[in-house]
Amino acid sequence: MSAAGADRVPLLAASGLQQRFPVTRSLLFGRPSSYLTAVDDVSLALHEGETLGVVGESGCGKTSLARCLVRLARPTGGTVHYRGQDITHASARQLRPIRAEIQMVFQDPEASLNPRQRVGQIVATGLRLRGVGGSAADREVRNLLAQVGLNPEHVNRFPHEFSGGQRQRIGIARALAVQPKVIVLDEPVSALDVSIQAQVVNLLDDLQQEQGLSYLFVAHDLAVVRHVSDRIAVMYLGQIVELAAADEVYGRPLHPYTAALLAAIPSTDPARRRGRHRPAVAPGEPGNPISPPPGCRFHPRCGRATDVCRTTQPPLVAYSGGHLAACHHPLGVESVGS
Amino acid sequence: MAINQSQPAERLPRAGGVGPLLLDDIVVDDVVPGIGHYRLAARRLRRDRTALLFGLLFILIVVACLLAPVYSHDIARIGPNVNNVTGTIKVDGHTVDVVSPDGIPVGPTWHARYFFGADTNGRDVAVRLLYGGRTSLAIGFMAAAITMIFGVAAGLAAGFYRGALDAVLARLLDIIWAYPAVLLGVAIGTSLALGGLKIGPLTIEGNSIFIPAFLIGFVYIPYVAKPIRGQVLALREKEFVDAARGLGCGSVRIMVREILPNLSSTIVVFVPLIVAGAILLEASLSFLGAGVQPPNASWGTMIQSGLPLLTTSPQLVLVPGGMLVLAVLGVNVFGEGVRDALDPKSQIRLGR
Repeated sequence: MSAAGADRVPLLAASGLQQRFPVTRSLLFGRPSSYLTAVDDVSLALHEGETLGVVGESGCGKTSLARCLVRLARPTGGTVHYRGQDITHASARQLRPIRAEIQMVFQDPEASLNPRQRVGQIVATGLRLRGVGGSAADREVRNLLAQVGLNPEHVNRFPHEFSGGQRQRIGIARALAVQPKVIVLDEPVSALDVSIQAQVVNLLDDLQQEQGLSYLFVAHDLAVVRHVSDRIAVMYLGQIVELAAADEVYGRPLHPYTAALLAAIPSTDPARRRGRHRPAVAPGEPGNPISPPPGCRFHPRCGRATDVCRTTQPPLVAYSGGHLAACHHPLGVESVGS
Repeated sequence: MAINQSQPAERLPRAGGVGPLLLDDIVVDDVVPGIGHYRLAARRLRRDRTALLFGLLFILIVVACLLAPVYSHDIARIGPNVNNVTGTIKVDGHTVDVVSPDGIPVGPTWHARYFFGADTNGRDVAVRLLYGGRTSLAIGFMAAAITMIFGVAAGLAAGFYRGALDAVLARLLDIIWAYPAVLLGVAIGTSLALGGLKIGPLTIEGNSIFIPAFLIGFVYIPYVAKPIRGQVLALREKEFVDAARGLGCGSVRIMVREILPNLSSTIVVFVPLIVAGAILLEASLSFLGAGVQPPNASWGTMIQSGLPLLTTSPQLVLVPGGMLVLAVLGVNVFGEGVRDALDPKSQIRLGR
């Protein structure tokens, strides 16, 4: 898919992935009256050692995508491959050996830690599954806590005795305990203060360099993923609208939605802020995933929309440099067809 | 990274801070340890004088009943099942029949022997009260244990697996629930008391106290299983359960290690309430002849056997009845105190 990894088998790949949730009207005769399509025909690949950022507004299906990729949810369509092995419909038993290799770090560090377990127990859960027990597990837990920048002496504390950033570190330590290859980070820093966000992002960066991890980094704003991502996928209403190297996405966004997201990043440079021409941030609400707008899903909010956008869904097309975008009127590209 | 790293450092006032704050890998040591759930509850309970007082009352009753053999052997010097219809005792210098020729037993003597008087067979009411208390309390605790074990297991399985298992369990529990506890108890109790119970190699006699214990424990299962199931339904959707599954934990491990610890406060709240209910139900069943079988004493059987003489010897009913009220009240008020302390917003009430 990307120029960088066309020749290798991707570590984790989704193809035509779809996740629909039934919206049931009656409790009794549970025929779903309609479906909410959280993820619609998403294809992406994560290569070894790389970080793929996934960005989009709240409710665009990022979390559903992440849950499908780690197989916490069963996708309703398409496939998920891990190292070329189809795990789309793998049973719990078949998944067991793969679980350890694909880990997830959750958005809410409070909800993702069992309030009735001590930190040592939480981190040791994965070790126990690997068959590490007793004093070896004890040592390993302390190592892991130190690795994520926590005091190893805090093994006997409960999650509520830690701050948000520290809890997220516990979540990361728990994932590291099973020696994963891929970590799917579902908005790992969204719930944290800005200063703490930087700490956690830097920690993730260090861990990636030390252990050769691959990340799928989900976030709702481009600011957070820019620093860590090699490539970035931009999602809108369950679909990927742009996918390219991080610099490309920032330097030469093709999709108006990406441009709008970039414009939404607050500038820290007063000079730039004053002089900047503010492009219109996408007005209005994101569409309804139960009945998405026909044609291009972004057209009701897009300043460049024309008749073709209202009727025809734009395909994901490769532009120069392997830059993928799904738009009839990409920015900075002279008109493609009519 | 577009989050300008120096930006928060500039905003945050640093004590004596000049240079930029290094945000990398700060190990924050000065965590204020939060107060744990149970420690907080214990503090609230300690302030609840009423609950503590009633708890103490219940403990005193339990201790007294445990000391029944000591009382019987060293103070009253008469066994709980020793008949003494023709005997006489000395009360304040007068010699009195234990049971008068027209069948009226002696009233309370307020002495070591026959402190609360005798019953129609000339047995010491005080001794029987303590021995009967042992039976009643033992049944209460055993029944509560049975209820909690099966109720929690059923609620956990139904809430976690949902689907067919949940549907089947829910219907089974509904069947138990559909019958009033006393009615169901009388029905099963009568048949078991007559025939005894044979489970494989295990044979339980009809007059064993295990039968009412088992029966009462069984009757209360839905009262525990239903709320537990509801809690499990909510807990299983929590992210930490996803995290455990993502690590590769199996269903049983998730239920036992991730979900069960989160049910502990509900379980703690239920135990005293179920014990109180079980003691009371034992008394009802024994009163109706479907619980503890004579000659074994329990508070319920004592009330029942004393009923015909209510007008002439009211102590035969009032003494065990009063003890029953005190014990149930004690554990109930204490239980409600525990519930309020653990979960001030709790909705758990024992529907009766």
